[in-house]
Amino acid sequence: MKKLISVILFISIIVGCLGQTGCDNEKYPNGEIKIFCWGEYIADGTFGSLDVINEFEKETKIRVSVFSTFDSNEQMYAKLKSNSASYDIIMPSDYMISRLIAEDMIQKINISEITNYNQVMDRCKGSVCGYDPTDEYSVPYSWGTLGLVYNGPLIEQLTGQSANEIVKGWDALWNKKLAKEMFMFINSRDSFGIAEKYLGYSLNTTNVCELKNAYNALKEQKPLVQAYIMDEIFDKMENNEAAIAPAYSGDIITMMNENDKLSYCFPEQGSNIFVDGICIPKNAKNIQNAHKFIDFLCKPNIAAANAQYISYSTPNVGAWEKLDDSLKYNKIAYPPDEIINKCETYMYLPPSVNSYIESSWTEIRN
Amino acid sequence: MKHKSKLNLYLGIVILFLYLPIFVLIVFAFNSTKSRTVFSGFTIQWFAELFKDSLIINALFNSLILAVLSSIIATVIGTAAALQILKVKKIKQSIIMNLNFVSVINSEVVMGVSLMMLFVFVLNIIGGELGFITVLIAHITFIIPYVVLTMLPKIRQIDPNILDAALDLGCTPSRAFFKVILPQIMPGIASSLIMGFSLSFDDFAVSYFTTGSSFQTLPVLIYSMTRKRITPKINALFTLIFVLVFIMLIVMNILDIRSEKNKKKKSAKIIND
Amino acid sequence: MNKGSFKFLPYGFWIIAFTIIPILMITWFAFTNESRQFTFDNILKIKSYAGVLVRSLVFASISTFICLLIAYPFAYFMSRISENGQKMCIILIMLPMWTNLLLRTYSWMTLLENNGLINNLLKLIGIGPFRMINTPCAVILGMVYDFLPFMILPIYTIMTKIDKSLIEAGNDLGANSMQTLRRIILPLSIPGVLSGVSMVFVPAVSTFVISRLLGGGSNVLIGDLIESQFVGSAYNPWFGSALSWVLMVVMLVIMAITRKFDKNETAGLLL
Repeated sequence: MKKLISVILFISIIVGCLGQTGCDNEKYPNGEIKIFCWGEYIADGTFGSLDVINEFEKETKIRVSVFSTFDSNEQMYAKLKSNSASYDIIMPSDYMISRLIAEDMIQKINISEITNYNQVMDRCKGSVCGYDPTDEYSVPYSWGTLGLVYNGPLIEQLTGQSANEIVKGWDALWNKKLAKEMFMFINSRDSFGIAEKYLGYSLNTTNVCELKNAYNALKEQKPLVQAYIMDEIFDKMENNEAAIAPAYSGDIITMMNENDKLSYCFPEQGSNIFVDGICIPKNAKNIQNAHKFIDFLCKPNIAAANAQYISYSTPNVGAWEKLDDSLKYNKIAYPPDEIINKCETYMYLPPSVNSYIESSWTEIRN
Repeated sequence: MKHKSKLNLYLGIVILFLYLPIFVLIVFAFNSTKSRTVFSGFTIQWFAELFKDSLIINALFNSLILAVLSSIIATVIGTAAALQILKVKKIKQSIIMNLNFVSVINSEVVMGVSLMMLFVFVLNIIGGELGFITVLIAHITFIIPYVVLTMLPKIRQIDPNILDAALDLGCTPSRAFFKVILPQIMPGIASSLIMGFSLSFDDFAVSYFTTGSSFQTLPVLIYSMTRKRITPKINALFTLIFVLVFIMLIVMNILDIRSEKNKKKKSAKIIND
Repeated sequence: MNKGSFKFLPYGFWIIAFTIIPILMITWFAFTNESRQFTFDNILKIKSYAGVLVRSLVFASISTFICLLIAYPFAYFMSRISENGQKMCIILIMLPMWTNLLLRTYSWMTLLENNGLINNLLKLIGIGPFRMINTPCAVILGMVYDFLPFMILPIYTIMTKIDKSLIEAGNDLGANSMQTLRRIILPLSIPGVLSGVSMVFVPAVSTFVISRLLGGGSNVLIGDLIESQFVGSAYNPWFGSALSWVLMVVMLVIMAITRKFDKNETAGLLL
């Protein structure tokens, strides 16, 4: 019996090691890289796009051994914080970059190795936007704004009024005529941000009274909401499952391409503008390769392929030049200055405010 | 007769309920667009693309290896324990059965997060990260109690005198085990293996918590897809699995019926002779 | 030391290392805070989430009950058809369990949506549309669907084990089929029912996928809450441990009560 057990354990360990290391060493002499990024955030070859990962492997002979995705900054943070996995590349948003810097969870990037760094627009850099004051921890990957996507015909059918009258700003998400025909974000930061803008506050308010009001507004909104979702929104809005939902600019463009009943509205109360950066976590094992990957993503043709695929705005000047005209001059992706001026970035909030938002959000949804 | 058809109708309706989503799944494996709700034309392109998708194939391979290894190891450990359980004192027996009980009713989520905490704690000391080995350990952990529960009734049926007889006749204990005990508990071992395989292959919750960045099982991959949209390639994969398992079960059943018939024939022959 | 004791070694080691120690770790985390000090805060914090715990228990109880209502007659009828028919039935019940549970639940989403298959079908007949997705009912439906086989199989197994001569004796003594069912089959099938109840109730209480896919993020269950404390947005393993710990204790109590009525090791009957 003992022999049998030891034989089986032995076999299992052998097979396990085989399964883990694979036998790609000859094809990829330059080691590996582990990437953790937003879902569908890098062009993967579908719909005629460039397969960026494949291209990277071919060019640098580095194997992308892990390509995991997350759908909220907080989820990515938890995965990193719990130490249950190590990655070489992550793509947090602005306020999360500040938090990761503050908690010493990401490391400095050697900018001199990023040969294409000169392509990055100044106005997206951390030093200008404030999330990374020294520009040493992150390289901007994309940016965008938060807006509303709505199904015009459905709204007219439901309310009897024209969609333009109904959807002007965030108050459409509190319109009782659209009860059970709206989606809302499932993550706390975005939902509180929307409520705060709806009430005319700053996205980064730490005022207890204002936070309480936002909480009440969200509580009042709950009976009207059909579902709290995140990435499911693409599928659901394309299937006409609801009349209106908040969404980020790039996603809205993607949805509008799939379903021509959908339209976009920039809320009159103002909104959020974000920058997603590329960072290297503190516990990364392939730092050299991570730099190569960042540099690769900054190449104008690669950045253009990604921007074209995700429909988010690119901070890369050379890439913008290369875009199709329909996206290049798209008002949703590249809005005029008067809209950008109405936008605010998320700031890293003090832990007490963060935990207040998080726990009251669970309570609201309950 | 009328009563009988009502009875069959009820069985049919419940089975239809069980198959409704599976039917949808299979139909949309042949859909020519990515849509989940509108069937716009017949195609088998997803089956072809499935085999080109290294992400899915890798995850499938991972899940298969995991299921095979965890069911084998768990069956060995569980069977060894079950063989011994009936020989020890009542108090010891009840302690073991209670431990087993705790593991069976320990819900997947609690088991997943508690194992994750243990693994992360240990790995932080010895170095390394969550991956194949941790998921394997976790799967073995949740399969073992089921193996014990499957084996116990089978082992109870064994007549202890047979073993004693074999030993008296000069068999070494290990020989006696392989020649006398093992054949008798073989059906139990087989069903433990099958059950362990299917538990492991279908497990999502425990794998989700105990896996790291480098090892992805099929259910974990599917979960990350449900966040956005499941590609029809997954439908295609499960259509294939479904057909495969169906054929396997039917064949097993036919063999079963046949061997029973043979037995009956043989016994009839003996009586006639 | 018994000669055969080494056979327990791997088992004992495994259960202690990977079941008992993790449970102790959960307990330890549940009663400490970030700076490793003893505290009741985590446990007390659960009070404000009591609604989630209650909802999980209520949803799981309802779906267990519905499963029982569907499964009991099913198992009874099944045990009364021809032997080949029974074998076919078992195959048909086992087969869906080989298709990934997430996928089957996702398929239900397709069926239940506002513009989903069921509503489209109803539209053809001229009724509806009905709001089905993102409601508590959808979550319960998902639970019933996913765990129904776990109720059918143990009840069926025990029904086939009931001595046929008992039923015949009852019939001979003049009992009609209703009386046989109530007086003979029902009492004898209780162990199967109990094992089915625990096989459905345990996973239903702690699920964290069904509510997300079918409940629209507003029917939060305890499983979702625990998940979000460990790998989700609300990262707080101390509170997550407290939740897990409470869930575990509640389950143990409920199951111990159930088992009081059930002296045999019926969980094994599934097989």
